[in-house]
Order: sequence, then C-alpha cells, then structure tokens
Amino acid sequence: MSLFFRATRRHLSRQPLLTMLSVTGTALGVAVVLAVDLVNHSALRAFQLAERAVSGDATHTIVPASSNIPDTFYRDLRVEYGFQESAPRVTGTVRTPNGRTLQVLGIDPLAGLSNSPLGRRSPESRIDPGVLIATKNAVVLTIPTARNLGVSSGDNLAVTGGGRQHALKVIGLLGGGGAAVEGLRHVLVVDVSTAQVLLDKIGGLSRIDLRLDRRERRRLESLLPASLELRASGSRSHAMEQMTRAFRMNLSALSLLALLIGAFLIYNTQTLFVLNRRETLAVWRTLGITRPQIVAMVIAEAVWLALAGGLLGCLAGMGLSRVLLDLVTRTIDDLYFSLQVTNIALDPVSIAKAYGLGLAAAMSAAALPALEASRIQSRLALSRSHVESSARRIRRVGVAVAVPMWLLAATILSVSQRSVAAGFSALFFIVAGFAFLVPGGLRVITRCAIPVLERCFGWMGLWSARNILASMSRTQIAVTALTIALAATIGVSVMIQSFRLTVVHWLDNYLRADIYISRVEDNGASMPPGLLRRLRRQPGVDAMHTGRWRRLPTEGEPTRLFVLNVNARGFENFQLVNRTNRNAWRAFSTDDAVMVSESYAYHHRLEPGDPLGLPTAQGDHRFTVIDVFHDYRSDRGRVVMHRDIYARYWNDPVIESIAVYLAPGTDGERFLADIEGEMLRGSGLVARSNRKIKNASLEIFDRTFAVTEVLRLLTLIVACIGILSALVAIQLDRSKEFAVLRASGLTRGELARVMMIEGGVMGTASAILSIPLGIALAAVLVFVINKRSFGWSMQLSLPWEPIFTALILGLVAGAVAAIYPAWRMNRQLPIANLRHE
Amino acid sequence: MNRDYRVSRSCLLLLACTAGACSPAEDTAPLLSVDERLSGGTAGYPKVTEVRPLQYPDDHGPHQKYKHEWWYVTGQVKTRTQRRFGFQLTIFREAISNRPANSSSRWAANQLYLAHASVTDIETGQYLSGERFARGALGLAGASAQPFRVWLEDWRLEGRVDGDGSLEGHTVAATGRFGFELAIRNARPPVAHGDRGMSTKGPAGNASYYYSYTRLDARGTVRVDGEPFDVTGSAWFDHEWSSSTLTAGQSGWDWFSLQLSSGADLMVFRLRNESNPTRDFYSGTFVDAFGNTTNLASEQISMEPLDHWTSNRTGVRYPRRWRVSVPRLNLMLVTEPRLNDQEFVHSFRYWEGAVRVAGRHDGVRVGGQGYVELTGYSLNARR
Repeated sequence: MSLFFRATRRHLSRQPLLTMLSVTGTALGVAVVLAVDLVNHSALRAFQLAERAVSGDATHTIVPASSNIPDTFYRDLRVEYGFQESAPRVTGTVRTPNGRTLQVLGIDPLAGLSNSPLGRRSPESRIDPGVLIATKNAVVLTIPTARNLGVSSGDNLAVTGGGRQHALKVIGLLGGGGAAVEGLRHVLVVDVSTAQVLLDKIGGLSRIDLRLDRRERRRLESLLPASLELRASGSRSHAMEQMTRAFRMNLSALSLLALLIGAFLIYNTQTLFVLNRRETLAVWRTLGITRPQIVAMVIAEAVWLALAGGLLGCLAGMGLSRVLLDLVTRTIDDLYFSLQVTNIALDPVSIAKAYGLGLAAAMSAAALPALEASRIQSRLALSRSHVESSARRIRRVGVAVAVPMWLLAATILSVSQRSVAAGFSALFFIVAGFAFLVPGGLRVITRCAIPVLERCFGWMGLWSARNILASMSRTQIAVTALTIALAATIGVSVMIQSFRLTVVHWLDNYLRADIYISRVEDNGASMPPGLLRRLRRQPGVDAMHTGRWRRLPTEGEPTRLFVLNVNARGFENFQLVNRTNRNAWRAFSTDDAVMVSESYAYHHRLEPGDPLGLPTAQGDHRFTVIDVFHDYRSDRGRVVMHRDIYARYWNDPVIESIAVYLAPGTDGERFLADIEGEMLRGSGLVARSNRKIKNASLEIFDRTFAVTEVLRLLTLIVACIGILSALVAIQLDRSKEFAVLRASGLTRGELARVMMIEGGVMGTASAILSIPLGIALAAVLVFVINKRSFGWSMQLSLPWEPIFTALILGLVAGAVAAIYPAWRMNRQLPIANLRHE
Repeated sequence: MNRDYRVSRSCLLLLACTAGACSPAEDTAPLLSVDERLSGGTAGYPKVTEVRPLQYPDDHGPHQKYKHEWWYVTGQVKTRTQRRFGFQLTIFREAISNRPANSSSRWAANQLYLAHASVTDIETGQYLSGERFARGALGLAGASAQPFRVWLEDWRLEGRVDGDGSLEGHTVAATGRFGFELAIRNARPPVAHGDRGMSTKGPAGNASYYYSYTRLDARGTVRVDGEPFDVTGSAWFDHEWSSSTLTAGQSGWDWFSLQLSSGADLMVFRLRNESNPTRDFYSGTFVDAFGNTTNLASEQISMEPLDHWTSNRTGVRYPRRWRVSVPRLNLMLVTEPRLNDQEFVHSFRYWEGAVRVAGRHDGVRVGGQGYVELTGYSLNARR
C-alpha cells in the first residue's frame, strides 16, 4: 500500500487549500460535539463532586417536606435517638457586592461524617472547629475560591444574604488539590449558626446527612415525623441527572448536526478528489489494482483527513467548551438548581467518543465516493460525462429515496409516544430524506432562474446557470450541506421565536397583578406578621393573592406544590388547556382538587379528572386533577392548590409571596416607592412590578437559548466552509477550461463575476430549498422535541425574519465563498494551466 | 491532679505529629490546632491564683469563665461470677471564646465539649473506647449544677448533690460495641486536693481547683458487644477546672487514683520534665480509712516504672508496672495493669486503664485497685 500512501500524500499536499478546508470541516464538527459533551459531563461532575465534598460517604439524607428541618429535631436525633453518624447542613446563596452568587454551606465542624472532606478526620480539613464556631461570621474557603475572590486568610468578605449586609471573616483556607476541595469551589463553608443568620434560617436546617446501616435506617424511619423524609444518598445527583437530561440531550443533538454537516463536507471533498483524479485511477485500474484496493485508498484518505481534523477538533473542542460552559451552567443555574462550574473536566471518554464519531462520520461519508472511484473504467475515465451521469442517477432516485425516509420518520413519530431520542431520529430521517431532493431542487431552481439571470447579467448569467447544471456532481453536495445548515438555522430560530412568543403571551396573562412581593432570598421563610394587614390598609390596593412554595417528597422527584390564595378573578389568569370543567373555579376553591401544569401532567401522565396522591402533613391523600394549565416556569412542572384546601391538610401559616392588584388609576411606580420605603426596608423583602418580572423572565429565557444560538452559528460556519471548499474544487477542476476562455479573451473581471454569480445562485438555491425543510424542522422541534423533552406545548409562529435572514445568508455565503477561488483564478496565468494540454 | 492539661496535652501530641513523630497510620487528625491552643489560647481567661472554699452543689456545675474543665468517673466493677470490668467516662469542657455567644441562632456557642469513654473487659482482654464532640448549645452538650448534670449527647453524668456534698446519681455512656449505665453513690465525702481545693501544678505557680470523690459505690449494667452484665463495684469521681497550660519543659504526666483494701485512698501525680527528671513535679492526697486527708508535697512522693509495654498500634512505649512510695506515710505500692493494652487512640492518644495494687502500709500487706493515666509518651519522647 506504500504506493497508495505516497499517492495520497502527494495528492493532499498538492491541494493544500482543499485539504485544509476538509480538515477544518471535520475539526469543527468534532469540536462542537466534544465541547457540548465536555460541558454536559463537567456540569454533572461538578454537581457530583460538590455532593461528595459535602456529604462524603453519607448513605442517607433527611430532607424536609417543607422548607426547613427544625434544628431541635437534630438535637433529638443525636441526644435522644443516638444517631451519631449524622451531620447538619444549612445551604443557600449569598451575593458579593459585584453581584456574584456564592453558595453557603453551614456545617457543624464537630459533627462531620468520618469520611467527608469536612469531617474532622479528613486530611484536607484544617478547620479549627473552635474558631469556626466561636468567631462571629467566620468563613472557610478553598484556596482557588479565595484567590478568585481576591481574599486571603484574615481578610473580610462582604456579602449580602437574607436581605442584609454581612462582613464575613476568612479564618482559614482549605488546601490540597483533591476532588473534595474541587467540589467546594464557590462554596463558603461556615458554622451552622453563621449560616442560619446569613440565610435568615434561624431554627432551621436544610438537610441532615447520615450514615446508616439497614437496621438503623428502619429504626430512623419509624422515628421520623411526617414532615421529614429519609432519602438514599445520591438520589440528589440522580434527580439532577434526570432533571437536566432533556436539556443536555437537546444540546447533544444540535452538536451532532454540526458533525453531520461536517460529514457532508468530507463526502464532498472525497467526491471531488475522486473526480480530480479519475485519470490516475483509470490508469491504476489498467495496471491491475483491484477495486477493493481503490475503495480502501479513498477511505484511507478520508480517515487521514479525519484523523488530522479530529485531532484539531479535539483541541478546538476543549477551547470551545470553556466558552459554552458558562452559557450552559448559567442555564442550568437559571432553570434547574444552583450550579457553578468553572472547570472543564477533560473526560477521556468524551474525547474518545467525539474522535471516534468524527472518524466514523468520515469513513461513512467517504464510502460512496470510494465505490464511485472503484467503478471507474479506463476508457470512460477521460470523460466527465460518466461521473455526471451518476450524479444524475442520485437526482432521479431522489424522490424514491426521500418518500420512504419520510414515511419512516412519520412511523417513528407515531409509534414512539414520549421518547426524545426517537424524536431526534425522526428529525434525522426527515433531513436525510430531504437531502436526496436537493439536487433535483437545485436543477429546477437554476432552470427557473435562467431568464432572470440572463436579464440581469446577460450572457454571463446564462453561462453561470448552464455551468451549474452541467457540473451537478460537484455542486449538489455543497448545496445540500448548505441547505441543511440553513434549514437548521431556520428551524432553530423559528422554534425559539415561537417559544418566546408563547412565553410572552403566557407572561402577559399570568402576571396580571401589578406588584409582587417576595423574599430576596428564596429561603422558605414567612412574610413578617402583619404585613398583609398593613398592605391592605395601604391606599390603592384593590386585591391581594398570597403564595407559598412547598416541595413534597413524592416518588422519584419531589413535587413542587404552589399554594395559592386567590379569588375567582385571579383564577382567570390560568390558561387552561382543556377547559372541560365548567366548574373549575368552584372545584379549585372548595373540593380536594388541584391544578397541574402542563409539564407536570406530561411527566406524570395526568389528565383532568385523574386522581393525584400527595403526601400531606396528615399522611397521603388523593386529590383530583381539575385541569391542566399552560406554564413555562419550569420544565419539571408544578401542582397548584388553593390555600383553603391546603389548610385542611397542612398546619402551615407561612406566606412567601404576595401579589398586589392595584385599583384603577393608582400610580404603580409611586405605590412601589411608598411601600419600599416604609414597609419593606431592612425586611429582606423585595417588591417588583410585573413589568420588571416579565423582563427578568425573558432575560432568563434569552440566556437559556444563548448556547443554542452559538451552536447554530457554528453549524452555519461549517456549512460555509463546505460551500467554499466546493467552489475551490470546482475552480481546480475547471482551471483548464477557464484558461482556454481567458486565452480566448475573457477578462479577469468577467471570470470573477461568473464565479460569483455561480456561487450566489447556489447559495440562493440552498436558501430557497432550506425554507420548507427549516419549517418542517421547526414544527418537529416545537411539537415533538419540546413536548417530549419538557412537556410544553406551544404555538408555531412563522416569523419572516429568520427566513429572510436565511435567504440573505445563503446568497452572501455563496457569493463570498466564490471570492477566493475567483481571486486565485485571476492570479494564475492562463498559460500555466494550459501547459499540459 | 492535672488533667487540667489534658486538652493542652493534645497540643504536645500534635506538635509531635507535625514534627513527623507519629506514624502515618495513626488516626490523630488535628482537631485542635497547635497554634490556636498554644499561643495565647488561655489569654483572657482567669488564672487560679487564690484559695476559695468549694461550695456544693454549686461547684459541681460548670465554671465557664475558666478555659478548661472536666468531670471524670472511673471504676472497677464485677459480676456475681467475679467477671471484672473497668470503665471510664470523662467529659471535658473547653471555652472557645471568653465572650458570650451573641447570635440569634441557637447553635451559637462559646463552649465546646469532648467526651471519652471506655470499658475494659478483663476476662476477654478487650479494651473498647470511643470519643464524642459537641458544642455547648442547642442541648447537644452542657453542664449544670442544679440539678447536677453534665452531658454530651446521650453520654452523661447526673444526679442529686446535697449541701454537704453527698452525691447520688448515675453515669451513662454507650457506643455500638460497648456501654455502661451505672448508679453511683458516694461512700465517703468529697476530698478537696491541695490547699482547700486549690491544687498547684508545678514550681511556676500554675494551679487548678480540684476535688474528688475517692470512693463511690457503683451498681448497674456494663454491656460488651451487645451482651449485658449486671455489676457492682467501686468508682472514683474527679472534677477540676483552671485556665493553665503545661509550663515550658513539661512533657506529660503520670497520674494514679488508688483504692486500697485497708479502706485508704491515694491520689498522686507526677508532671514530667522533658529532659531533667530532677525537675519533675509531684503532688498527691492520702485519705485514710476514716476519711482524714493528708496533702503530699512534691518531695514526699516517689514513683518509678518497673517495666514497660509497647503498643502494637502506635508503637509507643508506656511504663507498665510502677512502684509508688510515700516514705513519710510508710507506704509502698506496686501497680500492675489488669490489661496491658488500655491505650486510648482516637483524636487524642494516651494510656488510661484499670490496675491492681499490692504493697505494704505501715508494715502491713495491702491490696487494692485503681486507675492510672499516662500521657505525653510518644515515639521519640526522651522520657
């Protein structure tokens, strides 16, 4: 095979630009896949590390059904019941003056589990328990965190927590580079007493970690009051994985799209390589080189390119992952739970996976060109017509292939009810089927464009169109790649815009109250007593609703219960999905009935009229689902119960938020200023207008899709490189032809214009073709993927802007991609290309 | 005696650890940091400088303005079939701040509690021990005089104390492997050590307040590996508080609480000078069978190790048998451990165990039992 190697090397080195573009395409595809995988992996790992750093080898955790565990229960646990392998935790967040969020972890340094890094016997721990307990506002941090915050031992650290300012005192740093310390990044370790004050959780614990054997577990379960729940450790990590699974899967799917386009690029490059070398191949065949050998050579070439591209891609992916990390972490932090990740964990499995995927994509992409190459007969080799006829074959079979693929996609969608992966595979078949129609579409569009081109550019326009039609084998792949990339752009944009419009509409309906009052920190503490009364006396107040969040320990993931004290008018704010129950309001306010959000209904397979068992303070009780309402607050969903019903089963007077409706004609801003000055100062409460909440919600929404936008852009870049490499290849292939024309009097400017027209036509054709595919993608994303991932249904709206953008993008991408080949063509003397004729 | 220095003793041990003296396998993580405890750790706390009469029951409770304090019960008990056990419960209090804990949180504390407990099962040759830590807050640990109660979680020492000092109570400690629950009642009034309770700890003038019940009747249950044993026997109770640490050059101590068959009791200790045995400091109290006490000055006591035992776990070599003499009282005793391995190895490390006593007093043979505590021995200790 050494001959092949040399031939390959020679060939690749003689076409440096083409080689480079192909390598770049693969590299980008691999980079995007790797980056997303690394980020997903790092986010999970950071969470697990933090879990382990805090809980050590705890086997169980006691969590409250409501917001906090009374700390007297912890006393009983140790003093009365004798569970010594137990450790109290108070958790929450505080902010630094420049707005950074830091997690607070309150521990009892004397009560660590033996093997946790914060336990008293761990080598990492250099905390002096006496000092941590006795020093007011003492805090311990890891060395990287301290460096990050610019503090060292002995310094003060100002934070805001529980609505108040606190000056913390750094009494020590946690050293060592172990995973344990890594897990405590961004964490302020304080004594339980300090945490209770900082987080305004006096008398409460967030959880208690325990190490239990089976016998102890049974004993503890029998001692546990109904308001507390015992869970196996690791269930938090598991729940976290479950919660973000759909989100991470969507990212992965998007990244695979980039790789798919990268694979098209390899296909394109290899096809062009085969075309360029048809004479050589014919000679080799005549010399007795077998077909399998030629297949192997073409594939080997693709593998070489993929190996290089993969390597670059892995490096680029590591860099890219750092860019994406922040976006992804913020989204998880916004939507799911507090998470801070600063380090990319360079997981070798992720790297191997991305590299392997890149190679596999390259090999399968090269398979067709390789077969094509092996079919070359010596006598046919000198004519391009043979290759063109095979390109025509693809065009003819287009419909015959596309339709079954679409049928397959439809079957997958209808058979798989809830699987997100199946949704994505259907999406793949829709795209793949469409790809077979692109050559035919390109031909039709180009033909239709001939009169227009002729009118605009005269003979050059006509000639350009004819050139495209005559060299379909070279152009159709590039056009297909660009079409898919543009369609993805349209699809994702339309999905995001539809989603956004739906959310805006929902917010408008849902946030009807004028002012919302809540705690600065979401810590489950009640409103100060008398606040409601004082508010009621405030001039301008028309009506008020109160809210209270609970986390109920239900099977699998806890259920978020929202307890709402609302009147009939406020009830109207719910946008019901079914509207089958005419007496919905009566049922909600008087019966043992609840409303469930769409996501909750989807995840728990609930429909109106279904029973829903919830653990109440008086044991499990069955409630009836009245109706399902649209809700985009969280993809985990929630259950809403009227306060009167809640009071039947829970003895819990806590109110966490108040919605104030102002009488008509009241100046909202002034009202806000009034109550902020009088009632809320220093109370740890904040009042916000509905406009402010709406804006904040949309800000989070936009942040959520920032990472999607980045991936979309990357996909488009891959496609542009595809177009560029196709045009370069065309130029190379046609250099003799152009040389003849130049020698016959064609000017440089005319040649450049022809090439740019060709590029523009190809780009525009891609854009036109991408519109129906893009809309189809958007429909699948909106109605299938989003529904299956998050349980949300939304309206598909067709904004013109992304479609228009795609058109412009296609035209510009095509034309711009032609600039380099045109420039290069013009630099060459025609004689150089005619020398061998 | 000076278990006053027990907490500070840990500092020495830690110093030894940081200097690389401890074998790495040893589980002596620095609960209490060296710097904090040695440099000015006792500044801001009152020193014991003058005699004050002890008041019962008030002095049974905590003296929180002093840095250190402990309550201590040891004893030897037997089943009806003469199966013998030793037991120990020590609850330490340490002030971690001399300012009141000023916080709305019930966890805020300026007192820290530590407890050590052990059972020696002499027949099977097992020594079982455990330790606990808690802050003096939220009801996790604490102490009070009326009612008399010292507790760290479910380990406790409590009872009724009358104005004359008579004590009737019980002591409880248990872990997964061992435990005891014993009713105790004093058979003899409390004994104030030193000058009416002010016990001097060396030539430099360090001192503590210190009293003991040298003889209590104990009755109850000892549990080993889940098996309960009904037992009766005799116990010893100590209570001591101060703010001092070991003075420079002192490396540890050897302490004896002995109950003789003649009805007499003896408490003696020696503070070892690290390099010069002639600068060792001795002190003690002798209680005769009628309850009369005699203070013993440094030059009146002599003690010498007769042989040694080396721990397999830590490699530390401890004196095993001792000869303790008080020539002035014509008293010569030899102590021998009931079990060699009664080494307490947790966050702190020392030897504390049940011993048997044999010797002569005024020319008459006497026997007896007691507890011996040996601290400050480490791998490279010079003495």
